Amino acid sequence: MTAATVTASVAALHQRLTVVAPVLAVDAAELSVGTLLAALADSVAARPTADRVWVLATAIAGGYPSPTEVDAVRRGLELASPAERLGACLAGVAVTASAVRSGDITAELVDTGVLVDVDFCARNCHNTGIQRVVRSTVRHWDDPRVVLAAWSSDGTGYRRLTPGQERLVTAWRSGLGPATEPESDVLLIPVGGTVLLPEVPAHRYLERLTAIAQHSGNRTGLIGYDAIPLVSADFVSEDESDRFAHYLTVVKHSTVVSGISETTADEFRGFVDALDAQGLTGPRVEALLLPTARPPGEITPPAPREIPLVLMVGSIEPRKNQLGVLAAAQSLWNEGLKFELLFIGGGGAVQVGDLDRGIQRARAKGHAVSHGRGVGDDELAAAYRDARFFVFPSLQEGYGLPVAEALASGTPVITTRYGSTAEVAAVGGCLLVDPRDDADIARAMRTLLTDDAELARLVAETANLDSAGWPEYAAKLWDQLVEEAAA
Amino acid sequence: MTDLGTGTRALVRALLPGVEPARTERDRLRQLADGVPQPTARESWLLLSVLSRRLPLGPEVDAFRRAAAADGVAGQLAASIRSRRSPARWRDLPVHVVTDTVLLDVHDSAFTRLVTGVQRVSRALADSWMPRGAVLVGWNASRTQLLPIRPDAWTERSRRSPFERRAIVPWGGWFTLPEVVTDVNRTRRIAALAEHSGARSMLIGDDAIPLTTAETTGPKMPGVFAKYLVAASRMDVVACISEAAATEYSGWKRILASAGLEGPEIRTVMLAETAPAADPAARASAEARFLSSDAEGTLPLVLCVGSHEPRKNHDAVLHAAELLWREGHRFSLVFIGGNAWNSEAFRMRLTELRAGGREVQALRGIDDALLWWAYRLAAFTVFPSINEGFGLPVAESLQSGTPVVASGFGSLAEIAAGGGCVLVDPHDDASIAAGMRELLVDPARRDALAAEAAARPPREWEDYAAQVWNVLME
Repeated sequence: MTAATVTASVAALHQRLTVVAPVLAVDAAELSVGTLLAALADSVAARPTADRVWVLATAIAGGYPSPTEVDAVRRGLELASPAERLGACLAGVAVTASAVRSGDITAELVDTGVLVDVDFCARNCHNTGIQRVVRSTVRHWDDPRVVLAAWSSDGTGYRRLTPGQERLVTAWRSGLGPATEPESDVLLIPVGGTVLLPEVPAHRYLERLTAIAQHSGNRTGLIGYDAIPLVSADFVSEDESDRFAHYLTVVKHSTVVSGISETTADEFRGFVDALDAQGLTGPRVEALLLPTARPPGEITPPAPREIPLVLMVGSIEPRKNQLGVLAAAQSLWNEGLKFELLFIGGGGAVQVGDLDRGIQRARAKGHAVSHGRGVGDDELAAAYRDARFFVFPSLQEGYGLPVAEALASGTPVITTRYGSTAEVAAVGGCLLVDPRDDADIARAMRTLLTDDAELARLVAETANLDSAGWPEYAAKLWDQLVEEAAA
Repeated sequence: MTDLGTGTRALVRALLPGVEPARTERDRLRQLADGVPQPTARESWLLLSVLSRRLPLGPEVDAFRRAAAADGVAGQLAASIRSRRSPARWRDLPVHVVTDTVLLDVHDSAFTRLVTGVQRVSRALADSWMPRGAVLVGWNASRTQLLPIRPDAWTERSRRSPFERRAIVPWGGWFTLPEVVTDVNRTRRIAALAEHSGARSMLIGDDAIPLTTAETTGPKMPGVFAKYLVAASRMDVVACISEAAATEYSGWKRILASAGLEGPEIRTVMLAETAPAADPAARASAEARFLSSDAEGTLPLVLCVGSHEPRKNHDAVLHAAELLWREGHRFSLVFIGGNAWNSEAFRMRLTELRAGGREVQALRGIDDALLWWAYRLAAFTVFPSINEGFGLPVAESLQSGTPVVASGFGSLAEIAAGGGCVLVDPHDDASIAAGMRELLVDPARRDALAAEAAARPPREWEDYAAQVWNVLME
């Protein structure tokens, strides 16, 4: 380390301490960095509440502490003599301080603001599921308190978005590339406000987020998507379930969760019920059904077809139940019914292999069935509209976006009779089935292949779709996560 | 135990009641193909279990029945038999179909000398249920076959090849899992067994801590526990070891509805609360081991039993103790329990305190005879756990007549309701210190709580096992 870098690091530390000094009721004017640090430590030692400890630890380390570090600083200050307080603070946050990769991190206080974690959307160009919800919602939040944030690349704290990241979040369009500007070196320190987690954060942020939810004094609001990594753990990796369990630790200490359906809200309510065993009350749980949205892309008139098209869209995996649909289709082909079955979606090699082997067997018998991968938005929209009906007997969904998209395209749907898909189906246009019973799926498919009157009735019902869109969803969500949480 | 035999004979007997198995294998396969032309998931599960000699996974069952529906069952029967030709399968034993039998899966307990809470439950159930005709079972090396454990091997605690030389598969009857299974190969097969075998299946629900308190569990544990919960979701009943554990499992059961699963019935059978009489011969060595003195004489002993994992909150105990020592209170502090993940901070702090002259030590590998004396020699024990399915050390301390400073919620509060405890908030060091201080400065209060503890009637392991048996048999 050269003298110049040391000077810069000390100046940055001095700036961070000066920024938090008013929060800790210390007048930083004229104080040298050492004297200021000692004054802050004295102030927190005199009233060592968790939020004050968290703010001091954050300012010293240049990043957010873990829950263990908050405990260590608090305990250290409680036992330290006045002369030992400085050492207690520094020792307590050593792990985070050494994880911060730059010595030049300054701080910006987000005082009673609404800090929104859009990390994944800011770093990635994907636009499926969660990203569509986040991007469609955040762009409607024009409250001056909103600060969009992403994690620093070392994972120690929030930064304001770069212009490129901001574009990815609020002005996403197909073909947009990743942001390439260097990240900000200003750490955001939220105090007395709200931290929103509309995404499911990556595993490596969860420990610091737990400390924010538990200790920082900010209210924490989340969108709850589903508990698939828990309930359908047999279909996901152990790492995914592991991450979800640690995500639940953040949930446990948060203020409010808004589930994307009643079904999802009930999953989080079940978790909150369980918390009674550990003496915790957990967050308030609300439900707000996602809006039904027309699929992106241009709409063209349906192409005339010789035999009807049956469509299933979704990632290729056992939970989505493509093999159940294929078995049902096989039994209908055996009965002599004529139709074409199209699966659209990508997936892991094993799952795709299982499906494609089944497809090959059916094709060998002369049946029209295929699997489309890497399908563009326009092609997808056309498939939704060209299909005689859409089939989606998923075993578990947080919402069931493809069901909504099919209905928005005026296409009737066969879907699962319970959970969120049943909620989405409540507007009409759907036949409900037991997804674990291939014969029941076949029965519904047979009806929609052979009964034109029933099909027409369901097509007519798709006109009942609620026209409320993302602006309404975003406004209601804001009320749940920000306004009611503050009340 | 009713044994229907092995192979296609057993399958004809199980799936075609009233039909006499034909004399040749070929004819029996034809009987099966004619008798179950469109096998259900249950029938597919049994056919696969017996013919392939491996308990199938759920997706294998689905693939079997779908292929049978599309292309006829005969081809699937032949394919299942062919699957055994791989050299990896040569060691798989012929599978006996057993009905009307209580199976108790104690695989891990059969191979360990550890005596944790889970092992105590397994032993209690096994010792009590064997005379009632239950068959103890474990798993082969590849975790694909259920093998009976020889009763003599279990009784003698012989851990070398305790298995009989045959595999079994239940068809109806009862299946109980008292262990937390972290081997995914085993949990996935147990899930399919619980779903398809027709056995009334029961899981002993210790807690759902890896799900509800993931921040305190060892690395990777939540991921494998999620798979274990998949097996739990297919069971008929979860017998929880406390109301708190039942609260956790009831919350989890509510979550299952999103996948259209009803989930098991959630019941509570509180664990036993006993402490064996302490052996007088061990007293002197226990005193030498656990007690310390200063100029004024023997120091009151504060005891903390449990491994140094984050959930047990031992960092907070050390902090509370130091606050009290600084206030001038006289006592010694003894931890009994092994190291665990993330115990480095605890060890470091312990070393600092000892270097500062505090009477504190952490012991491990203490045998039971000394442990029972440690409880009796202690002025009180302290157990401010963040989350606990039951808290055996609290029950053991109370049955030794020693008061406990314990967390004021969950299973510990349930146990404490019977008397002898001071309840504290484990998330607040000051509250823990206050509970300890109360018992250090107020001997009358301590003695009153000790009298309450001594008056608690024991609950025996045999009674616990009998109650669990009754739940299984409902």
